[in-house]
Amino acid sequence: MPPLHDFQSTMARYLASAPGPEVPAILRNLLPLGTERPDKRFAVYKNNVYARLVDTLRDTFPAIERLVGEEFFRYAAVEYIAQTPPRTASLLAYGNGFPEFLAEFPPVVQLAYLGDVARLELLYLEAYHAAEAEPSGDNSPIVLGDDIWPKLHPSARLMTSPFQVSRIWELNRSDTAFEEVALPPMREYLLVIRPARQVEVRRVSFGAYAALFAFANEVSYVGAREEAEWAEPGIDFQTHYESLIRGGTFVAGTTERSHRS
Amino acid sequence: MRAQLPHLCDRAAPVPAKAGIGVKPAHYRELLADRPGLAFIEVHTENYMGEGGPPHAYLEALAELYPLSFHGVGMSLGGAEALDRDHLRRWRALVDRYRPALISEHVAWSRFGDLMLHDLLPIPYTRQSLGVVRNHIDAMQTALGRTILVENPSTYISFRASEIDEPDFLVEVARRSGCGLLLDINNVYVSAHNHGFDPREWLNRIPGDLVGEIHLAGHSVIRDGDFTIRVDDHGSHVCPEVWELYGETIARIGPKPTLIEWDTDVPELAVLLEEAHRADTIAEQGDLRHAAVA
Repeated sequence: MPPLHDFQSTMARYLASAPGPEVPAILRNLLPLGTERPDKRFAVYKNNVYARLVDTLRDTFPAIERLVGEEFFRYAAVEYIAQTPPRTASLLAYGNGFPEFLAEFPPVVQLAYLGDVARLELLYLEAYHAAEAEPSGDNSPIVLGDDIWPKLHPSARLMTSPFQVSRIWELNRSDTAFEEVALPPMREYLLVIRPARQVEVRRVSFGAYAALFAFANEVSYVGAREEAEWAEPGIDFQTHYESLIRGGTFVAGTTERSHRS
Repeated sequence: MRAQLPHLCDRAAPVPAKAGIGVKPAHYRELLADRPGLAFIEVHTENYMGEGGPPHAYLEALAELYPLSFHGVGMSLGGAEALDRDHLRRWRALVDRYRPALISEHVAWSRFGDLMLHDLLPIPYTRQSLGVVRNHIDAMQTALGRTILVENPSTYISFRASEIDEPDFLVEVARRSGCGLLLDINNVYVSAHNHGFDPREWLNRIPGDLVGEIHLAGHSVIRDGDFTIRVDDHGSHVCPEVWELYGETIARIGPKPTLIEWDTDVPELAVLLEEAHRADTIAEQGDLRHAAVA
């Protein structure tokens, strides 16, 4: 028997590699003489490892699975898993490279929106598990002034896409009947956030997006307003800002400049 | 010296020696609304390693109603390398926050280098691996400040190099580290079939005072010509043979906190509650036999 270390090194590489290849002789030779069907036995482990990860990706990317179909999703997932095996014991964040993988996956490269839909599903998952914080709301005083730094809720995530990804996502979230819908490319700016129990996907204007992006980078109120006005000349920033506060976009009561400076 | 089992219990009084269920997100709301009588509920610790969100909100609410059991599937106690310090820290934070009544892991490995294999992989039972597992259990118990239970795995391969029979290995690990055992009777049955040993003889080698919890689950059977292999997929009802072994085990060692595990093709809550009720009924009969013998 090789030391535990050597056996686990070989078996780990075998189990992480793409399904298909035969069991290495060095592993088969570890079994008692006369063991029936060694390949079948090792295959149970390999199947367990892959099935668990495919299921994890299916849970995180249900709209993608619906868009490409169960069989193709499984194929893409297995390719991804073989390239990007998990590194941590918790699988809550597994698949965070899947959107980029899909965007560049040759068989679906003509479905240009796929990577962005996957990115939206990933942000949804991130918002779902993000840290708790009391969100701003109707009872939070609306703070004005140049010298304040509103802090985004820890669940807030931003993305933009040249496609109508939130519409595509909405249409493919549930098991409703398939229907053909024309969604010509049109840029979307999205805020994904979980101020309470539910994750919300909100479409925002370019101006609001620019301000939110500034807030995410710890820019002050006045700096964010400038960003918004640059992105969307003539924007009524104050109305947007009040609406963001009511929507729980910020952490309640924190407008102090953060520890960063 | 071995810690006494009452040390395993915290937040609530010791977990009653009756049935509980493994909780899945699909059951959160119904459990909170109906509050069915259960001795405890069990969750996979790794599923609560997010920072916040609904999983924690629901678990907080459920912890007010039921004693919790934290069951880990990723510590790799049988791994040749040192335990993952980050993973231990996350575990500790959850134990401090929720104060679970029971804590358990597996005599298996799942990590090598930076590869994490999400399955419970077998180790050869040797003097070397006994030392490795014992040291890892020490490290986990020290990091958590708690006594843990370790579970026997389902296995599909065994090793030419093994020097110690599985039940003796587990007993020795428990005696040396002071941990308790989580006896998974379905796993014994599955492994017994896959390797051709007698599950009763195996179970009889486990002293009852080491057992802090029992697991029961369903498994599937893969056939290829004459060859069959049983796979522990936790995706169906507990099979009749496992119920029978459970009754016999309770008759021998007395009742224990017993978990119904169902992790794939998760059914409605009512189905899990029926299985839990069946476990209680069988345990009551077994306990009568146990009392008659004792």
